[in-house]
Parts: sequence; C-alpha cells; structure tokens
Amino acid sequence: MTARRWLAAAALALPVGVLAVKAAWHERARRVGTLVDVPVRGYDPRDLLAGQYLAFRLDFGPAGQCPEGVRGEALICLRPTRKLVPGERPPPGCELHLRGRCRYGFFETGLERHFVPERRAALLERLVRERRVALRLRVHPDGSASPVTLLVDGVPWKDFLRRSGPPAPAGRR
Amino acid sequence: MQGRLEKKLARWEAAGLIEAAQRERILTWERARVRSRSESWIRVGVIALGAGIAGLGVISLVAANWERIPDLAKVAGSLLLTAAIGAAAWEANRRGAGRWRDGALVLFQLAVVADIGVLGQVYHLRGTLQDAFTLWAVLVAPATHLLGGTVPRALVVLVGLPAVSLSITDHQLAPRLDPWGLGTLTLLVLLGTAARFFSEARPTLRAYRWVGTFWMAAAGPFAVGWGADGLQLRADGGDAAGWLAATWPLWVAGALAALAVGTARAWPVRARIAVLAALAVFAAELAFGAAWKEAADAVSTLPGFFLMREFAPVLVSVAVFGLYAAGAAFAGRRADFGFALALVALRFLGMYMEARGNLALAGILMVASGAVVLALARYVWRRAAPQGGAGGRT
Repeated sequence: MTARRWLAAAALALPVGVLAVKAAWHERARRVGTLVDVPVRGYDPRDLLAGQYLAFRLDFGPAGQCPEGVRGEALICLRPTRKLVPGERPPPGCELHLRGRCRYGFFETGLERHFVPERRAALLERLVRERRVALRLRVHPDGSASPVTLLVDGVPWKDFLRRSGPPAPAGRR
Repeated sequence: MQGRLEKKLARWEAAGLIEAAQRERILTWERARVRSRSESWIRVGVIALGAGIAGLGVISLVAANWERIPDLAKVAGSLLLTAAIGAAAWEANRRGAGRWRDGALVLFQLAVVADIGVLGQVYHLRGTLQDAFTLWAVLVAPATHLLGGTVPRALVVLVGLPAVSLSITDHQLAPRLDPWGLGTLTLLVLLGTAARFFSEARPTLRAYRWVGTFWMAAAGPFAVGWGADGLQLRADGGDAAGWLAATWPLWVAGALAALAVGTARAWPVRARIAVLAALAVFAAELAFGAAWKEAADAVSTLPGFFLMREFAPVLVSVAVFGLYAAGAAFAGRRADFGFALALVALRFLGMYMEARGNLALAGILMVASGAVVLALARYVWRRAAPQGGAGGRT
C-alpha cells in the first residue's frame, strides 16, 4: 500500500479512534469517584424541557445560594459540612468538593441538563415539579463530576418507570 | 449544454478551424458520453433510493427500542457503523469509483455527527452546537481532504467555517468584546478568504474556493458594514491587557488570510496587493471605528453628522469591496469581480435608503461617488486589458 493510502486509512480511523477514547474516558469517569445524590428543582415553571434535555437546578440547600456580590468560580464543600466557598481552592479540612460557578445568585455546576427520551419527558417533568427527583453524580478528587443517572424516589429512573407501568402518550406538553 | 457545444462547433467550422466530418464525430462522441453518464446516474439514484429507504427503516427500528439498548452498546454500535462506512469509502477510493467514494464520504461525515450526538446523549455532555460541529469538522477534515471530491470537501468547509468562528467567539472573544456578533462575522470572512485563496494552489481544491467565496460574500457585507462602529473592549473586559490582546484570534485569522492571498500565485502581484489593501482597510475600520463614531457623535450640525456618521463608513465599505474588485479585475476573475461590484452597489443603495431627509445631499454625494467609481473602473479595465484580464477567467 502506498504512503498516501496509509495516510487515508489513518485519516478515516481518526474520528472513530478519537471518539472511542472520549467514550472510554467518560465511561471511566462515571465509575471512578464518590457517589453523591443531589435533589433537583425545576427553575422555569413554564417549561423544564429544552429540546431533548431536562433542565433543572441542583438543590444544595442554603449552601447553593451564592452570597450577594459573589460571581465567577466557586466550589461547594460537600463533606464534612456543606458550604459554598468562592474561588477554586477547597478550604483545609474539606474532604469532598464540587466545582462550579456563581451566576445570578445560584451555584451552577454545568450538570443542570440531562437527556431524557421524548416519550418519558412529560412524566419526568412532573416528577421534578413534585420534588421526587435527584441527580446521582460521580464526584472526582479534583472537584469535577460526571452525571450517572436520575433517581426518582431514590431509585434509578428506568427502574422506577419499569415498576410503575407503561408511559403516557408521547408528544403532548 | 449540447446546444452550446453545437453552436461553438458551428462557429469553428464557419471559421475554417474544423471540417464538417470532425464536427459530426465530436458531436457523436459527446452524445454517447452524456447518455452513458445519464444511465449511470439513474442506476446510482435507484440504488441510493432503495438503500435510503431501508436505512431509514433500520433507524426507526433502533429508535423504537432506544431505551432498551444499553449505553455501551449504543456507543459501540454507532462507532462500528462509522468504521464500516469509512472502510467502504476507503475501498471505493482504492477501486477508483469516484461517485461511490464521495457518497460514502458524505455518509461517513453524517455518521461522525451522529457519533458525537450519541456520546453527548449517553454521557449528558454539556456544550454548544457550534462546539460539536467544530469537533466534527476537525475530525473529518483530514479524511475528506485526502480522499474527497467536491461535495464532501464543500460540505465540511460550508459547515466547519461558521462552527469554528462561533466556537472561537464563544470561548475567546465574547467574554471581552462587544459586539460579539461582529467578531464572529469577521472571523468568518477572514477564514473564508483564507480558504478561497489557499484553493488557488491547485485546481482540485475548487470546492474550497466556492465555499470560501460564498462565506466572503454572505458575511462580508455585514462584517464590513457593522465594522463601522468598531470592535470595542467591554468595560469589565476580563483579564485582557488591551484591545490587541483581546482580539488575537482575529489577527491570527487575518494573518492566515493575508498569507493565503500573498501566496496565491495564480493572481498577479498587483491583484494580490489590491486584495491585501482591502484586508488592511477592513482591519483599520475595526480598530478605529469606535473612535470615529465618537467623533461623529460630537458633531453638532446635521449635514456634518450625516457626512461623518453615515457617508464615511459607506466609503470605507466601498474601498474594501472596490479594492477587491480591482484585484479580481487584474486577475481576470469575473465571478469575484461581479460579486464585489454588486456589494459596492448594495452598500450605496443601503445608504440612500438611510438618507433621513437629506435626499439632496445624498443625491449629490452619490452622483460624485458614482463618477469616481466609473473613473476607477475605467482605469482598472484599461490596466487589466493588456494581460487579457477581465474578459477571461472566472
């Protein structure tokens, strides 16, 4: 095979290789770290769904409210006590922290969107409004986190739906 | 097409360049070639239709059972399908089957988009649409450039250029500059210019020339017109040391465009100088437009304000597109000359519509401007004519 053909083969393999590595990295991130369940709250009472994504706020309680005047990089210390800290460095004694930003008075992690199948969307939206939903995260030592799954009443949402029966008709909101 | 060929051959026969028998042989050969191409296109079209319908059916079956498919299976299946399509493209290229290769490459590009979407869905990845398409463009560009024909290459540049411009603006420009839309349009124009002129290196790169020219024409009028107000540093401009530091992506894109123009040997030197001058005027407008706007706002008389605020920026637009038109004329590029001149005309028309009660002043200025444009055009055509310029190439 000529050099150009080898180059062409490598170029065709490039997207598959890069995306496979990306998938492997995210798959590992899902499995490594500390599991933390955080309740979610809707923040737009009219429409929680942005396209195929469920959009919400993570409810860290009073620690999730950014003090007035605090904007930009911040983190929430999750253990031993929940506390919001401006900046990027966790305070001494903080065993587990989650990075994010303070925007418009709220702490945001960038994990506030979760893909949901269209035909489950209306049901999950209702469950969020009823405050029965939490997001299970895998928090890493550097403060980043990977979403694992949504929990409904403490149970992964797929298991919850399997137990509760067939879904409502799709496409009606 | 056949009609034009017949007319040409008739002219050549009348001029004594070819015999009647030669004319007939040429026409017979061309008709047979066209018939053969039509039959192969019909075959390809029917196969594509059947495969497309079956493919949509498979997609529907997969979609109906999407929730039941484990995440890893979704990712692996998607990547394996992309690999299979890539292998088909490679095989088609090896056999020299150009159309099949291009078709497989377009499918490969679509499959990579789907892979990125599946990863985003499975791992709930955050990110904008433009970031996704920038990643897509970067991943498929090497294979498309090495293997692809016109259509796959045009597709990656058509989608990739605006995606890259938006991504760079989001991450590098928008936090520091106002208005960010002008930053995006400027990047798009500069990258389009770079693509258009780098394509001059070889005839096989004409797909990049077409798409580059498209984005220059589509984004150029807005970028140059909007640029009259200049790019300004925000009051809370982050950690930018200054305006130059904040706009560095634009200077990199500008340098790429200038390099592409400077190395386009198919254009004569004075043509390249004219185009480089157009880029320099545009850069000056971006840099000094804000200061000019402040000076215009400080002028108290209405005619003076109109001259400074409305007419002067129009002249800058005319200078940019006029210089480009001059360069195109020197290089004998009819299409470039045509679209640049059309943009000049549109800019004057826009100014006329904004006259706001100064119709007499606008009229005088436009008559004078039209006379200047005609004089410049006459000069350019007379200088270009000895090299067989403007009537020749497109």
